[in-house]
Amino acid sequence: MYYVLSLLTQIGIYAVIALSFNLALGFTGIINLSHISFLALGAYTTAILYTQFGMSFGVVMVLSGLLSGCVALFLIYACRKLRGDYLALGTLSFHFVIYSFIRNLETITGGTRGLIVDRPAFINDGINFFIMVVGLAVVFTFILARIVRSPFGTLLGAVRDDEKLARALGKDSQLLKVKAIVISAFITGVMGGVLAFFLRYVHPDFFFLYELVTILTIVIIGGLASLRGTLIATFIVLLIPEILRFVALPSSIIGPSRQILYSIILLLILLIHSRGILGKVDLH
Amino acid sequence: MAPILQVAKLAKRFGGNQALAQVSFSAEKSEITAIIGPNGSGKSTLFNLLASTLVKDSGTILIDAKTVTDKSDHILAKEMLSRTFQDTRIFTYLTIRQHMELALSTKDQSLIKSFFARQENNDDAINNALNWVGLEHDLNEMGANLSYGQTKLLTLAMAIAKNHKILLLDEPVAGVNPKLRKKIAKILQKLRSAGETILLIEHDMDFVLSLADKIIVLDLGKVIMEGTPKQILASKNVLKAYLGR
Repeated sequence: MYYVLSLLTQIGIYAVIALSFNLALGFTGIINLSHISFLALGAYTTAILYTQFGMSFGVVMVLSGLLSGCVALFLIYACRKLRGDYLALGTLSFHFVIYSFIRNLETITGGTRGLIVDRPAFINDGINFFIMVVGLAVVFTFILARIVRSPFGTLLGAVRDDEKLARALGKDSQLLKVKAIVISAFITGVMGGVLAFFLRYVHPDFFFLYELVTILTIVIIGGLASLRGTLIATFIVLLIPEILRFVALPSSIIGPSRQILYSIILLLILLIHSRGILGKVDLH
Repeated sequence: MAPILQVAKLAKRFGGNQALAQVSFSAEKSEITAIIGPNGSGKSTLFNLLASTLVKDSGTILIDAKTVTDKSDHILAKEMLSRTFQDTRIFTYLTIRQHMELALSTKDQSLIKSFFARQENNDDAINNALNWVGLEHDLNEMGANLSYGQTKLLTLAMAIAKNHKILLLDEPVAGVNPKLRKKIAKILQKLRSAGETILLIEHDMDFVLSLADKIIVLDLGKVIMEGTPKQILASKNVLKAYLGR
């Protein structure tokens, strides 16, 4: 029972992280490879403010989102002249900057020792925690669905398809990209906080590049610009590796197998059906 | 009445290449002004400077007697200019309806307002703009599924529908079949009659000569002549520089 509940909670958390990643990548066309750094910032903000400073749960959650949003604002401003592959490289470098900070800033982040995270009493129980994650997933999915179906969502699609044409229609593409990435980062920051409470511990290695591969695999399998596809893909991507748990192999092999499996699935999807399950947009 | 567009001593240099040098001309309201010239004469640079997608080195641009050279491209587009591009541009994954809604809308950039707004029905305005160009198609068709000719008409419909004072058309009949070429010429004549001010770049001389009220000839970044189609055809300089006669 605990195993199933824990797995479903994990699926809920990853679903929201992947949905917010799809807002930037699939709906707006921003190749942001530093998405996991927003997750890390949210997780560490929660770990530090809740466990070490004793701030209240609600305030910590909001601040985790806000810090990630503010850092995203800085990132998109710094990368404002970059497009396509260059933007991908710029954001990827930024990810390494954040990763290095949390790994080396020992006095604040605990460095390679990580930080223990206390859970608030009301979510100490696995079922309550699961209910909270489902609640957050429903709220964030509703907000994202409303955004992408609104005129604002159409504008994001215009920026994704042809930024030059969008500007020729009088649309401030830069401002639109800022809004999309800040919303994406805010939601990811909040979910970083939830992840920290879920794991009861944060460590730099939780936020290394292979976590991005997991999120990218979910979004590509589900399909770009499809929220429903992302939700379905989260179940598929997180459940498939669970089969490995029941195979009699040493843990030293099972650990890396998960990442190898994701990479193989990602490659197969890209080669065979690049739109994924319900994708509305081709990969360029 | 003062011309709606006044360009004075406009200059732009790319490294060692003087793309435009002291270009001055004007365009009257409700007229079609054509800019012609051989490849590399500075026509596209001039359009990009007018649309503020390039920054000028010197000179002034006045639209409706207001200086617009300091405005950013999207603000200028929002307030004064509609343009089409030489390479036909389209939003691949948006429907025809969404293309037209983007062109018609001026208030949709606010996330909060958009989040709580009810879906507006602006089918009348959309159909009206599409009627101008005679594009009869399912509004839910994706941009990616349109033919080249339909794409040309859709971009023209968007430019007409969007709030503007001047229409900038970059090679509106490039690559289209003779039937569509004739159709576009009729659309432009109809627009002129309705009071539209049109500035266009076009290589098709027959198209330009039959349509334009005024022609400006560029060569090596300079205006070498401006006048009516008749005057242009009579100019030896133009025939030599552009038509090679």
